[in-house]
Amino acid sequence: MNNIFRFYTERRLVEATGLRAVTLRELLSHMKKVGGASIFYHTHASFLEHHFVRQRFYNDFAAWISRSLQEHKLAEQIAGIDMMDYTRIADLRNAFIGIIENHLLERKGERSRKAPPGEEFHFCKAKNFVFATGLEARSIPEFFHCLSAISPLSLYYHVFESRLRLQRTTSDFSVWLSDMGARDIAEKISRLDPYVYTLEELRQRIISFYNG
Amino acid sequence: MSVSIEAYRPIVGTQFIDELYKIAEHINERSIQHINSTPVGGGVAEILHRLVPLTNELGVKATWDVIKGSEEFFNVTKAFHNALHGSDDEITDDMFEIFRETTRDNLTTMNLYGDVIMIHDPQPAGLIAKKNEIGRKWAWRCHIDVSRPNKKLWEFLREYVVQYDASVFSMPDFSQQLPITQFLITPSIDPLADKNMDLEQSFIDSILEKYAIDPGRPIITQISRFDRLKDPVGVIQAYKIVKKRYDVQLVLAGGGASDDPEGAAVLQEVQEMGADDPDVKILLLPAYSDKEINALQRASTVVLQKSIKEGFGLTVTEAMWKNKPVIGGATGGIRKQIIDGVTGYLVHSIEGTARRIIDILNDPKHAELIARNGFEHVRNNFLLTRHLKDYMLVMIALERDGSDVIEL
Repeated sequence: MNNIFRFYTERRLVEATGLRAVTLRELLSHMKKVGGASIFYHTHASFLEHHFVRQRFYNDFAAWISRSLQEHKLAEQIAGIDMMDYTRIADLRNAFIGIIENHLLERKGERSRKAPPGEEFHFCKAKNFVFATGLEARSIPEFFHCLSAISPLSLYYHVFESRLRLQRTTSDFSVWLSDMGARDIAEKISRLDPYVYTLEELRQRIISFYNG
Repeated sequence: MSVSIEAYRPIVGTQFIDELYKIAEHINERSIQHINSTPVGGGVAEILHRLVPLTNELGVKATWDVIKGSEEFFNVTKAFHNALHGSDDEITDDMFEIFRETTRDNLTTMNLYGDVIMIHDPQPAGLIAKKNEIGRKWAWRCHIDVSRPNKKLWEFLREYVVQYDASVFSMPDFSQQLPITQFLITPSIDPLADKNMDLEQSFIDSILEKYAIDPGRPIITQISRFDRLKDPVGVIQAYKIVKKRYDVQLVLAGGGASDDPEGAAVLQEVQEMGADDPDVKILLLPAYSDKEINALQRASTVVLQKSIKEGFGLTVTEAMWKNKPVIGGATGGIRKQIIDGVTGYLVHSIEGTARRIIDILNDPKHAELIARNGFEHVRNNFLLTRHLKDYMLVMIALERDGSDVIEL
């Protein structure tokens, strides 16, 4: 058992894949062949941006389908996927593909809508650079003290990246807290759906498990 | 004048500056050599003037060199620039030959020594020919909008671009189908440059006095070249709708248009449109008017950038940084910066522009909120320090394998 929890953070460079879609069929076709990093990017990038109001969609595919194709029902279905049900990007990708294929089947024969010029969907991905923040916790009180001080990016790394992109079933926090004997708090964090909060709300929610 | 990285600490936060030092440690003594085509004038030179000393201050050796070329060469690259933006300028084989000849001259005379060589824009792109001989890591940084380039020219340039280890574009819309990595790095503004720094109220007042602008009545401003794509005519029409019921003033200020016959025609047209209204100020500002532009933006009640087509739109960034409510045409990079109704207003028409100006005049509290959001948006995403971080990450990425996660 490792008694020290090291807080990491990340910075990213976004890359264009060169793939762009104007119609739903093009989106589907690219979605099938693009790398997993791009699927991850378009389902997570929005959480990292500084938001002033709660977004209707944190999923780029859903946001584009709604805004640029005006397919609101489909957008809600895409955004409605429970991200916590997935620990593999491949399965998440298949879920999106299934929903879009069903939609196209229902609309068979109808003319497909085109995004207006300048509103094409550009498939991107991120290269992440992970590094230690220098903050370390050796006890549970220290852990929560650090948690209140880390940047939103660090919180994002430990909660989102570690679970889905690094294919662990739970967040780094739960694993360590459980090892340290705080099984109750670890369990609460594991059950938490981080996708319904802003990063700041998520931080407060996790801290409340300790204080409350 | 060189500004220390420490001067940015109160602006972007101590955590961010500490992170810059941490990232710099991982560059391990490797150096970056920037190469562009001009030491002064233009956005690229402006950015490099600041970025290079700041990079050095972080402990990463950075230098900046400039290629040499005849007037004929720069006329060719100017035509290239326009054609990459999608103009109909004819591109001839003779132009390609002039480009090749100047490239050959620079390959002979230039010292290419950086561990990472970052080539800015098309003019020096041919220097990549040296890669086979000297190795190093090469990145092509494209600052211009190449979303709809002249096909013949892009095919010519593409032959050079594909030899680079990576390319860098400002927005996904500008990226291309290329076999090399395409990083996306948005432009930035320097909060401490003359154009964006805080100003004394007395200086702002003196500029208003100089141009006979009344500080007691609302001021609507657009800062841009007199170019149809910036729609200054539409701006005046929107102003005229507002003016029917509101006692407002309009300031249209932009750089000279002496070498641009189309620009001169647009300028004349807007001058005629505003001729009978003393509250319309058409200001043709000389080069190096950054502080005056800053003052005009700071004195404004609302800032417009009613472009019909736009690259990134740094004038929007500048106005948001000055806590001004901004109304922008829903195009290009303006859409990336303005979240409609949150960090500014996006518009599609003259009528929409007038409507939003009226909204801002009638609800100053909401305008203030939007302006504050805009400021925060710029602070988080579009400042020079973020640009500096991104270039350092490119240096690291070029040295590591192609993995999507790099542990430092």
